[in-house]
Amino acid sequence: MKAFINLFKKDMVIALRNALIWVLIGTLVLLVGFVRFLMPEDFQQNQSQYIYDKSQEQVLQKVFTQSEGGNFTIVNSQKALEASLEKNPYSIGVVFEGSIDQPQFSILHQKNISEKNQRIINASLEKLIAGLRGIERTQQYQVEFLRQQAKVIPKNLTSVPVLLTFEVLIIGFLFIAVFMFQEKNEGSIRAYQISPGGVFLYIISKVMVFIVIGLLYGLSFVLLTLGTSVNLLTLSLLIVLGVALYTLIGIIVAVFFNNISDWFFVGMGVLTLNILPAISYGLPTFAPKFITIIPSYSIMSALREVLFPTGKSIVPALNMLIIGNILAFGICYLVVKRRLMKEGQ
Amino acid sequence: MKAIVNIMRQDITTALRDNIVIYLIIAPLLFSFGLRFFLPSVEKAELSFAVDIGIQKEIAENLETYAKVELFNGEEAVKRRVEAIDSVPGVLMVDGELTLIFEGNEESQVMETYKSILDQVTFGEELITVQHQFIGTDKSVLLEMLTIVVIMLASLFGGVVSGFNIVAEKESNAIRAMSVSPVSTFVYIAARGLLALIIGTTIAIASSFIMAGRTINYMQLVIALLASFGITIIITMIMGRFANNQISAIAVIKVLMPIYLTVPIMSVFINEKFHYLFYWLPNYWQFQLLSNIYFAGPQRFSFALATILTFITSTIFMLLVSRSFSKQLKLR
Repeated sequence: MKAFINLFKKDMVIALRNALIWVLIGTLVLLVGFVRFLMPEDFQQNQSQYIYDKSQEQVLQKVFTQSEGGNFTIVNSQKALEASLEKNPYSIGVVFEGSIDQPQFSILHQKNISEKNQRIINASLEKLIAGLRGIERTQQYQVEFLRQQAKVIPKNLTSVPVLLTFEVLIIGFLFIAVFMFQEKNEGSIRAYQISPGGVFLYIISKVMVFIVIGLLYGLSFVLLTLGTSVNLLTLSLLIVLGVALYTLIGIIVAVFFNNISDWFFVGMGVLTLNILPAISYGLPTFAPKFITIIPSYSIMSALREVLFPTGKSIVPALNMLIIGNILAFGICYLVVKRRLMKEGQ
Repeated sequence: MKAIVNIMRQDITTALRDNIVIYLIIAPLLFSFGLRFFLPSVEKAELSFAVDIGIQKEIAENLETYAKVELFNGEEAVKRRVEAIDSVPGVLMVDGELTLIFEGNEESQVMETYKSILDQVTFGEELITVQHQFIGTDKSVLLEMLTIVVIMLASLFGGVVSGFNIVAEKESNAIRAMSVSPVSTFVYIAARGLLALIIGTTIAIASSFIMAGRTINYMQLVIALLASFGITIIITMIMGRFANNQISAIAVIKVLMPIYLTVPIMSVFINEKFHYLFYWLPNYWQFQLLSNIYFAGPQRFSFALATILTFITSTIFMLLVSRSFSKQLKLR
């Protein structure tokens, strides 16, 4: 135990030597500032629509004029529609002709969309027209929810799980490399090779350093953005397991390189791949298999559940993290023992 | 001029010797290629239903004309799929009744879309005639936004490459020799800045070709990169000022990157009335400048105004940072 404490103290001093603490405090201030003061609680993600009602009754125009919200604009002529579409090439145009009993729509797309997505637009318009015509379309199916419907979370706060995953949890991955190359340069790894410390203590001490830093960093970020209403115990557990996993992966990668220059390409590649699940977080209907197997995908979802509970189980994510940590530790032990501890011998 | 060329020549040799510089040049190009391949699959994403094999074949077939249908055997299997992280609802028979199952955490708009599909599938009757026409240029907001990010990254990396050269001089103590040589602060910064500009501009133009092809005005891009010259030098000087070795250089990049990239991107989501809060930042104006080149449609500021303001704000920052830089490195 004493050997571990001494090693941990030494590692902690090295970790904090390169102004890491200032880097983290600076980044924390930035993150909190963004989430609390700069990011809006809501922003429009829908494609802009320009609606031109060419019909005699102009029912559609009346409906849209009265409705609130939505990213649409009513235009009064074909010319105005064309001008609007030209001005905003990311928008779509909707032209309504005929009558409410014989409605005809022309959807003007400025971007190619699949036939399936075209049919989804048709289905929404069918629903709209059925409502306007007062057609009683008794729902021929029932709707059930596996759990109570979740409350709407402000958009700025939904970024907290993403920032926790891609800023806080990966801290060990990024800095363990820096840390190990420094040890190699200073020759302290050689000294350790002949000391009685062993591979196990070496890895555990490094991982513990980043767990402590990650916990302080992550909890400060959550407390300063979401307050104290969060289940801090479960959150801490996820941060500990997440930081440990990324630090272990970081050691596995860093062992194979001697300096930051050689590591940079592979390290940045791993970090770039790791960030891909952020797309699925923002667009939940897009979740190809290769994204779902990246650990950050499950971690982000579990963090979201802990920060904004809906009753969903985080056990699968915890299992993944525990198994991942065990596997990563095993591989880490092997590569450190067979490669790092034999370097220069 | 001769002194500037000499320093640049020396820097190119150091840069090529050091892998990190090669990687910094290759990384945005590879990133651009990756995005070009990956983005279409994001934009063509289809909705999915988890369907029990026990439901009427006709309903499953009809659903397939709207979305991807994943078949499962039994209620439990469907519910397990609905429980997964993505937003996929289940369709199955519960007590003889067709049932649409949501997890409960889906956005209301997503649920409404799924309901519209099932409504249409179960009613069958078509009340409207719809014609879809493609009239546009197939512009993608996502692609254009990411292209701007890559171009800004190129400017950043240009500065970082020169920053690493200064760090290398600090590590080898060559900077001391420089401080007693006749090389002035201006010459030193000019040499480093010119190299950064050449590297940044080359990466930016190559990345732009990969991402946007010939759809943009490259003369405007060159003007934008020249106007952003000060930003690239600021990055070089901040690295040179604060990093004493490659390790602390990585730490400096870690802080610089979010400030440089995130601030302008955030401005897209922020109400225009609060944009004045960003007016003092050169990277905000650089982003507006690049928006003029890559985003179609109306712009907040004209290309000319954004160019002038990028140049002015970055020059002011550059002068401020250069004082501290020159003091710390004890240059003449």
